Amino acid sequence: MRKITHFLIVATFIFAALSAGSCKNDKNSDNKDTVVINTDSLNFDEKVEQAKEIFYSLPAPHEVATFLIQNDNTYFDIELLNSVQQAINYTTEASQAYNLGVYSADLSYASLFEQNQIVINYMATSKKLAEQLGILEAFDQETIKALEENVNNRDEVMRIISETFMDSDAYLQENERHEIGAMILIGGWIEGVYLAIKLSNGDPRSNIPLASSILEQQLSLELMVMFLKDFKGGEYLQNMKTDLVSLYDLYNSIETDVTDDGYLTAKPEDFKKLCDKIEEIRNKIVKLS
Amino acid sequence: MKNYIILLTILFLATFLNAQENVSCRDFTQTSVDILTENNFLPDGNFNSVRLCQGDKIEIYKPFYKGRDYMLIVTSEEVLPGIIVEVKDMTRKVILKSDKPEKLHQLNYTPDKNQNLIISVLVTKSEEYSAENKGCVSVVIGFSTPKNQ
Repeated sequence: MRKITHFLIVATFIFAALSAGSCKNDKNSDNKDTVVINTDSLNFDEKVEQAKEIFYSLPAPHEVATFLIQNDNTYFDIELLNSVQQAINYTTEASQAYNLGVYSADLSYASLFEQNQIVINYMATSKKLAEQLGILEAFDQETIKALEENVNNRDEVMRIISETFMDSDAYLQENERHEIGAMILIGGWIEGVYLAIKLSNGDPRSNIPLASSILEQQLSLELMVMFLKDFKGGEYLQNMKTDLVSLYDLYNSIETDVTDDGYLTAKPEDFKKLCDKIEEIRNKIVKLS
Repeated sequence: MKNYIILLTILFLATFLNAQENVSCRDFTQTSVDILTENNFLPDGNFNSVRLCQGDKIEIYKPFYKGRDYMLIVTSEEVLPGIIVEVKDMTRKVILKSDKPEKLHQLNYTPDKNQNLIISVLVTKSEEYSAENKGCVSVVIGFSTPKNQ
């Protein structure tokens, strides 16, 4: 009788192994994987029910840095970065993930202004955090070597950063560590917007294209809030959700205008409120332990 | 004892096969990344790849900013008949659509306003392909970078 039981168990596993990768026996494709998104609170017209999988292509740190910071009147200020010395304080998965995003945005910012040594230092720090998070595959020695060899070529550095980011995302998705992936993206987005608000001096008149880009980030935030709405995460992600919803509400409450050149602008006092809120969230992230 | 060894071996194989099934989409996606790079677009860093069957559909939500050029590379593996791509706004109005099912779509898009868009990808059905086939479908989005610094 015991032999039969063992045989049945083995047979079950053989069946499971052989059926992996085939469509006919993939019952999940019909129902389990279907994601239903309730978008009522965002006033979207319909609910999405048919897709097998929904991806939220949230802006990665290098994209945020490129879109926000890369304009003629911005500059590099090392004081704005989260110090690499801080990394030792990040001992929980949440603080490591959020700040991996933060360092990735800082790294992209430094890269845009060809701060080569800083790029190498921040990549090394990102590698340490990735190692602690168990996603070292994306930050392997070859990546660091390629970065060092191409550090004078900004376009190549940005390409390496973007592919490293995609490798991390792939690894986290394929290992179903979606919460960590979300935290990295959120940390990177917040740091990118933080760098932009600091470069704007919290005044929409000091750099009109930059202020416009900051105001336009409402769009990315909208997707982030939508993504988090149905996302079941732990305490750290729930707290962040509250902060981001509150930031989204603030964005929505601001009355914007369009300049003759097509830039978005807002009243200085409203813009300042927005900057203060972003700085508050960013400081919470870098002070996590 | 012998039975336990067999069981453990099978368990290992099942886990290995499942892991292989997932991992393979990263390598497949690299081809799309290379196309973007050759065209001077920077990949947005998101990994939107998954293994699908005939008739399956996926959607990608993404913010698009005016004044930027975007390139979308949507590909499916050879074992699938082809894919159709539609880009819709949040009211689901179609603003860009592929002409016919293909295994590789390269779409260029320059938005005239800032908006969140939905990229819908449908795997077409064909009796010429086995219905049991499951293959990677990947959507890689790249953006242009200003060259003025």
